[in-house]
Amino acid sequence: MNRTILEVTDLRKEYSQRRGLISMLTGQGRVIPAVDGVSFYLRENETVGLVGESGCGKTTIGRTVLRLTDPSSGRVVFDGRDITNERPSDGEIAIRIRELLEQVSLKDSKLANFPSELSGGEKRRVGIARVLAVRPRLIVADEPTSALDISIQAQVVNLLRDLQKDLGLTYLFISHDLPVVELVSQKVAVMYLGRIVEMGLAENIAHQPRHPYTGILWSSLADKQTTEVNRRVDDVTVERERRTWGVFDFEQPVSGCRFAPRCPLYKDKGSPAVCTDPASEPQLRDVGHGHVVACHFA
Amino acid sequence: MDAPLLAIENLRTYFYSRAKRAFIRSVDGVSLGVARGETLGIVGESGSGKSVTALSAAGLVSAGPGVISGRIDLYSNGARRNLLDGLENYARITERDGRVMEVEKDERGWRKRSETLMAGVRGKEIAMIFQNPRSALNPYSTIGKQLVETIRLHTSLKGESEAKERAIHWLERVRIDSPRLRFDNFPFGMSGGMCQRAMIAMALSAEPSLLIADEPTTGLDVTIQSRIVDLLAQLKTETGITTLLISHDISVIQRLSDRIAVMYGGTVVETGRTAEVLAPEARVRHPYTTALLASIPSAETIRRKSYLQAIEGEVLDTIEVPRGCRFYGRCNRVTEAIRENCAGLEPPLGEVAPGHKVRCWLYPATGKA
Repeated sequence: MNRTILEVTDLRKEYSQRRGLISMLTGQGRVIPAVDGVSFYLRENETVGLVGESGCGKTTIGRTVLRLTDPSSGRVVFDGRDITNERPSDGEIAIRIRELLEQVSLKDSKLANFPSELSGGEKRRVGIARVLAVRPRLIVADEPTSALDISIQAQVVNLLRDLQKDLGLTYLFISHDLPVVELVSQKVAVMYLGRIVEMGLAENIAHQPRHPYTGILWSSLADKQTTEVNRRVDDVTVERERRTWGVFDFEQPVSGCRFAPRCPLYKDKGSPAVCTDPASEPQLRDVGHGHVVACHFA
Repeated sequence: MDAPLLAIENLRTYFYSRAKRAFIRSVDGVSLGVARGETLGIVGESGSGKSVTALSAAGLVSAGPGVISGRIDLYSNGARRNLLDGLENYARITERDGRVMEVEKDERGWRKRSETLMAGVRGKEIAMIFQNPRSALNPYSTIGKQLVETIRLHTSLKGESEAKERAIHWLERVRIDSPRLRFDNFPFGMSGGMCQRAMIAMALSAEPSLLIADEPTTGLDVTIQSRIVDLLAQLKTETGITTLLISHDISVIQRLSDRIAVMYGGTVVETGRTAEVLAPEARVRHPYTTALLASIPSAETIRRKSYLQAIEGEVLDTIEVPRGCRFYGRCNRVTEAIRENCAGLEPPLGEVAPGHKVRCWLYPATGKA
């Protein structure tokens, strides 16, 4: 087993938002818990995928790990050192541009180009080369493939995997692209409204999810991909129309499980009181093989 | 094809780049037809010309350096009209030795002509929905107000209260919960998925003949995406609206369209019935379509954690168009027998099976076309 390179414990990050005259005068704003008590660790040479819808806090976690954002509370330990209140030094910046360009398979001739003269895929590769220049051991990759064309996206994914093999890199891979995450990650953490609701081996998360939210995430992907051309659209829609999706309403305090308002299981079980009991927000618990789930009914 | 609603013939939409003194050939000889009641899906990567094809049909290529040729016929109310009729008279291109030396465009004349052609068409006959619905909606006006405006402008309902009832009806049709409350909402108070629904309601409320949906799910969360796809599928069965769907997401195209056109470098490289073109067992398929499908992580790739089959090289820039096949530089199925053709001669879009056309030298039928 590889050793732990990054450990994040009970990380919290709150943003306060002030709206309107009254809150400005009284100094009270509403507090948005972007990250609300998140713990996880990364082992050396492994990739952990972080998935969730926009606004779930996955990017904030990445930024906090890199210390681009100060956490409100919690601890970040990198390589045995508490970096919660310091910025990690860049280390020795050896300039090895040619070697780097080779590693990211860009041609020498591109050295004299301006960024605007490069294509999207090339820019992404230069970005990766710049990161590699400081010989990092951990890379936080936040949406590394988004906004790239499918064919180019495949090149970048392959490149990231090669680099991991050759340089022994560790990745925190943040993405909304579920198939890509499943492909590159050993472990996947699923976030919902600032909390990790399920975490485990990538294949288990994708194929034997224990949390209803994880199931919905992956099944919406499958729905979109359905290959049966003459599928009866109606049945499916009627079935899925029951789950009413909404946006999370920050004005309403969370009581109990924050997924309950959207949860199909909650409805199927006849709205059990435990799900909305403010005193019993479900905590992550081990369901075997290091697979953790935060659901009363998992 | 039976009863076409829209017929695009040899469409070329070029944009002149002063800096490069050359044309960017965004759309370079595209012919496509959309039959009444069908959904045609155009799939391709960025720069393939799929969006510009749609914009040309909607008369939205008004930008200074844009030049269009070919014809786009819209059949409605028993009449046929060419949406590009006479536009080419407003641009003059001076060439020398096959190179563009100068482009003169009477922009005011062009715009006026375009507006004349599109009057009563855009918004009414052809409605559009776009990526990023939030920016397509007017932020200073409520959803309801915007809907009522569309309805009064484009339908026979002119009265305020009947238009309002119809607006609420459309909000219901696109499954916006509590439509009467949402009627008074501003776009900023609504989620991305909700805005897209409102956008769709607005497009459909004009009761158009053709709906152009340009990347309708791009940029939305995956859970919302599948809901919007569901909605579009449902509306398609309910209203039978003819749709031109543009997406880079092949799974969306697969789910929603009856026929598919795969674009690369400004041309259509393959077209046919979606079920036939994307069938896993399809034996005849353009190498680009094959490569595109292979670069999406499949269940098998993920299970084995194997490498993705990336398409080497970069997406073709359509300034320097090669003499031969546009995909030649990235193609991995060139054989010695056809190499000479591939490198030197652009293959025609030939019919390999009824209704299934492929632009590739690999398939002998293309030679005869």
